[in-house]
Amino acid sequence: MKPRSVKSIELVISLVLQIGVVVSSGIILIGLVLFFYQHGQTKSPLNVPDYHRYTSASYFFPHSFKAMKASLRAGQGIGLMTLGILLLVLTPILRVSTSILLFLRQRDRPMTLVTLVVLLVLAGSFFLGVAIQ
Amino acid sequence: MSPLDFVISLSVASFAAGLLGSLAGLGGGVIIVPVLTLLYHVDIRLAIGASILSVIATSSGAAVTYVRERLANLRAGMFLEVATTIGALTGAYITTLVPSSVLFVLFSAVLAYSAFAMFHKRHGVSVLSASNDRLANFFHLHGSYYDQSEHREITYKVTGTKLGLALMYIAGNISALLGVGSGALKVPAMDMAMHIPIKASAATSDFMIGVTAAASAGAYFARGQINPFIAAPVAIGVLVGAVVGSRLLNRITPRYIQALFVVVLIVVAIEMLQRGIT
Repeated sequence: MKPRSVKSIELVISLVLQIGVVVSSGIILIGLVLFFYQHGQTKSPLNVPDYHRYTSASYFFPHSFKAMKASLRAGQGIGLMTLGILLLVLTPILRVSTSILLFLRQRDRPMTLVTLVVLLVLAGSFFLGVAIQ
Repeated sequence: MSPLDFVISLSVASFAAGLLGSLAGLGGGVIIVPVLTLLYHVDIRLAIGASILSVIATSSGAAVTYVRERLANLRAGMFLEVATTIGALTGAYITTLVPSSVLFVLFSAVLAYSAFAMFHKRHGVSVLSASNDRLANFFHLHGSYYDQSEHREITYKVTGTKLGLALMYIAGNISALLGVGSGALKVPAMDMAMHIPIKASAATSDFMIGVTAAASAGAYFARGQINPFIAAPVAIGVLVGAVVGSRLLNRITPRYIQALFVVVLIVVAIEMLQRGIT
């Protein structure tokens, strides 16, 4: 009985991770293409700026949920890249949440408790980190 | 260099980081930070932000395969995550008590010792067939996987969970401090303290590091350390590298994984010592 149920847990978790990875990288890639399109890279090869313009410490990019929403509404590629990056960050959190449900369904109380503690600490430090700044 | 050249060349470097990271149970931050700062002259704060993302990308990309192939020990990984996440949460407080140079030197000493110990026991990999560790038995942390290089099922018992938890707590601290996955500490903790076979240790470490990194990623994002223009090519490159690497690990002879890991440990130890002294 045990090996089979353990295996199904593994398949579900693997699938959750796969969905997170594919969706986030797809959005990041679309955002990146859009970014280059919007910054005129494709039109005039003579006016191409140096990459430092976008990587220097003074370059502005969205780093709050509010700024990301505004950037997305404006249809900017950088907003889409930010969204994809956030989804990638959320993938492990989604994985932990899924495992709580799976252990709960198996009536595996010790492991349910363990994963619940992990999620609480994880969510706590994630949102604490966002809030403190 | 044009922005397009930057994105393409950084993706290729990140692919290599993801490949190595997934094989050794590391986040690839060891490679990403020096590449960004030394090669592309990116600000260290932004490099660390991209590095924390590379850890999550390696972990999620590699774990897709490792979890399905049972190479990652799901139960042991989740059990130990309790210690790493609490370690990451309290890491920020600890830094205010101990100067970071002391931590860097301490960290490099631990790594150097692990490299030495792992090199020493390279010949006889001991897999336990019985364990009287009460925690491991209560939570059923023991595991098994089918080894594709040896063509046989490897069943192992887990021991030393208390020492493992303590080491994972320290690993969590280090992660929060340095923006790395600290797989360099997790792998020896599982391999040597808990007797988990090296391949399963590397795969389980890869499975775990994403959670540790995600715990601190929120703060990095809000602080404006994750520049999408830098992080996007890193994420894509590392993801593809990790997916490819994770399909290789099970086919490689364990001895080579250990040798690779010893080299990585020594390099990281030197890097950390340098940061502690200067």
